Amino acid sequence: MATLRTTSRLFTAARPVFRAQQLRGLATIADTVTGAQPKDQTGTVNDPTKDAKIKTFQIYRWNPDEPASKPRMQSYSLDLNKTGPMMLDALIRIKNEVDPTLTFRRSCREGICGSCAMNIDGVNTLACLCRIPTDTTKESKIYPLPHTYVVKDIVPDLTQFYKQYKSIKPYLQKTTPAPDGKEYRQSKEDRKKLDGLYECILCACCSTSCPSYWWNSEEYLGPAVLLQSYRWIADSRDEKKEERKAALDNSMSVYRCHTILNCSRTCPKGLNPGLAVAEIKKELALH
Amino acid sequence: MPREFFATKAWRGRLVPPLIDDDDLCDESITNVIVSSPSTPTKGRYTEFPLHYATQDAISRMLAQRTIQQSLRRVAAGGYGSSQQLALSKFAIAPLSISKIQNRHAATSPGLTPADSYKILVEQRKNRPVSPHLAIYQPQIPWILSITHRITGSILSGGFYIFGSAYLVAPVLGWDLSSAAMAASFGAWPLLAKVCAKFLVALPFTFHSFNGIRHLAWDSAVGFGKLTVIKTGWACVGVSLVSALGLAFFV
Repeated sequence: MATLRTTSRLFTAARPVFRAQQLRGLATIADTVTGAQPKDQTGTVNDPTKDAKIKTFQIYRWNPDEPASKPRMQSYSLDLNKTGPMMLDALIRIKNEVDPTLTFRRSCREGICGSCAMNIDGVNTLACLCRIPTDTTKESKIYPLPHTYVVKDIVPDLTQFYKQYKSIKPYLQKTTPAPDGKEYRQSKEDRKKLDGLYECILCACCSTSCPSYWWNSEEYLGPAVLLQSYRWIADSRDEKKEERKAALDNSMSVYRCHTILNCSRTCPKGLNPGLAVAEIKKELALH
Repeated sequence: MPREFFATKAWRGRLVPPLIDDDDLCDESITNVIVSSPSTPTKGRYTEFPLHYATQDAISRMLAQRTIQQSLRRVAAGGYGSSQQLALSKFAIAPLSISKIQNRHAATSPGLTPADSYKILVEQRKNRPVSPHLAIYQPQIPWILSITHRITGSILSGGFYIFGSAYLVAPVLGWDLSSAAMAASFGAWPLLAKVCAKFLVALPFTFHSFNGIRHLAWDSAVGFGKLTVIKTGWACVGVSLVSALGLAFFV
């Protein structure tokens, strides 16, 4: 690793031509970026171009290094003509060109990793799948996932969420060996039951959109974890179905769901956690 | 970033915690490898990285190879200054190795142990604010109707309990709450007040009833389509408003 880093640094240093080419693609920052303004208040990329579509983004800021200070909203303006189409593009551009202290999680930029889950204009979604509204008269507001502990800026603490996921044993539990000694087979119909369940990327958008989860996150599992729970209950190969159901059969784990259905409305992958929870309730009631 | 920065203690400390997976690594497995960059033989300019033992081993082997190449080259170029401070590496073959590679096996920096970093984490968690929730969430038909369902339910049951208990204590307090007496006093109200009062009582009732049907359907896992939820929601609002008006005017 050490050698790799050194080499790559040498590599870039030795090739200024390429670097210049990379930079040309990006927007230029005017000299007046933060000049007269108080530090960390407002940052703006000033593009002197005509027909600039200047959009303002209000972003939630909180710095753990100043624990006494309260969270605040900071506004940034970007020219949409020089910004990619998605909210994540805007965030990355702000971080690269205006304010490197802005902190957020991101990884795959194509809605498969679930890192950039945040509350954009009042709705939980993935920044990489959310288009920037082209209406420049309205400001876009970006908050961390609602009712989570904030690590820094838009980064939420999801420790509890992951612990809950671990608690439902999200893996195939089987005691009998495979009949052919190789693999556990499944009929096409049984496999079809997992559609709409296995695609979940655990971005926590649905769980943190659920008012019931806001007030009861210590005990209520929340839509994302319950959808995963149902994914294993519905799996024809799993042999611990009864144990899984018994673990959920109490007043808190499932039944704090009051079918508010924010979860299904907000899921950036188009899944239906509300339906999965209803199926769990039905399983518990009927069998 | 300046190369010197990587040699500072601050950097050393910072790299340790994320590399440690507390389950399968212990302190002994972390060592600091000092890699002298072959391209810059200046003394004191080195990069320092704490590495997992396996990685370190691999790099050591690679470096040993490089050392041999280097020293061979130097031998070929004709000798090496004896006044220079030389460090013998355990990887190099003794007579050939004139190398600048040092290897320190002890963890030299006080660094951060997993326990230390956990302590910092606990301290930080005490300060973390809760992100805004209800006040910033977009008003959407599913959750607005859900909270309305709760509120109307409370109004209906609350009204029922209040009237019930008033009826119980009425003889003691000398109130006349018989149907005939109440009908007579309500009949004396002006028309507009009567319609408004009836509407205000009818609306929670109709809304709660029609929305209750949606909830019954959901309990049997029916009607969860994303558009279905929105459509039935608005239909419920419309039907309950119309029927409440009907009850207010015609009943």
